[in-house]
Amino acid sequence: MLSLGRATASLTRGDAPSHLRFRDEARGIPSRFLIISASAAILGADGGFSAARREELAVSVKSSKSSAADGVRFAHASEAEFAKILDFYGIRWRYEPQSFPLAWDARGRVIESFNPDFYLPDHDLYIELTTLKQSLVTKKNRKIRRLRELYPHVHLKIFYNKDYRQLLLKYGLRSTAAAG
Amino acid sequence: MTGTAQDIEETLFTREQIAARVVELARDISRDYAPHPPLLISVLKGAVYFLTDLSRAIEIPIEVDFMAVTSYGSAPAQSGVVRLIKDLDVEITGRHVVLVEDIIDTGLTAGYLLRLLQARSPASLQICTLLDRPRRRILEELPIAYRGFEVPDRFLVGYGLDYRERYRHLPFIGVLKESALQASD
Repeated sequence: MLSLGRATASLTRGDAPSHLRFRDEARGIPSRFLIISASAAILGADGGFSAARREELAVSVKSSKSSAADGVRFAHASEAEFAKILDFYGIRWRYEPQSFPLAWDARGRVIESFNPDFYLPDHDLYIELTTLKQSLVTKKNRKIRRLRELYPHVHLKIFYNKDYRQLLLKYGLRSTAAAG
Repeated sequence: MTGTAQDIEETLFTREQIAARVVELARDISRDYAPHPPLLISVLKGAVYFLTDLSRAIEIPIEVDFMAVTSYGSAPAQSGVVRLIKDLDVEITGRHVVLVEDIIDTGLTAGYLLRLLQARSPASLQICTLLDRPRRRILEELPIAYRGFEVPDRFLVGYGLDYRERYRHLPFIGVLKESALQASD
């Protein structure tokens, strides 16, 4: 079951799974089921989704969670600011579009996952902003190491608190940097 | 924040070290572009100091021109997107262009400028940057052909680099004290 979980996760890279996961999580359906159905959406042939349905999903993905920081509910103010910076320079992004399973129980259910904050589709790059206290950063670092072991093809850039603060200071955003 | 050398915690590159590296970069550009004299494009304001010294050390014919764009966090940036506020005076179609930067950090500004310049169909387009800070790079695929120094993730000022428009005039590159970053004036 472990290998099934990993294989499923690798199949979920892309637009349709992200969208499905978000929309269905909002309906309260556990994400582990949605990741599988999302993979089916990509595979198509045995997934039960018609070509028309896949097209519908693809279209709705384009209009959801993609750029325009004003329309997205961010978990942290630093993420909203970062989205605005990306918008300012014309960089397309998606907010938390992908969940990477990191650990599974004996029945193959995902018990730990990692959701990078941003994905830049034109650069195939995930970005994680870590504005946490150092004690919490250690836990996140462990998850990031695990992510890199399991998904070596995934490009992930991490902005630690100091990195991000310096970036905000560079733009003259002292109050935001202090809050971050 | 005095805006002077008193606010500098540590000198990272002295005037002499910068001058020596600039000469080396100029030598490389002179060699590589000897058959095709380049147009050096500098971005106002930070890169002006570097361009001035670099251009005087280059030993082949060159031309220079300038661009300016709004910066995130600046007052004119309220429109929400980067804007070109000073365009080039010359056409670059078919020209060999070197974009001269003081520092490449996230690469967001350079990326924007490259898209803008590339759309004008230059014969070639490369970047020459005095400082390179890859740790915070977001856009990895920048054509950096010449780089002076790789720098750590510290707040640097001097030799064109500013903090709230101050410290540009310092002849060396230094790390700004935390107290200066915190100062309200």
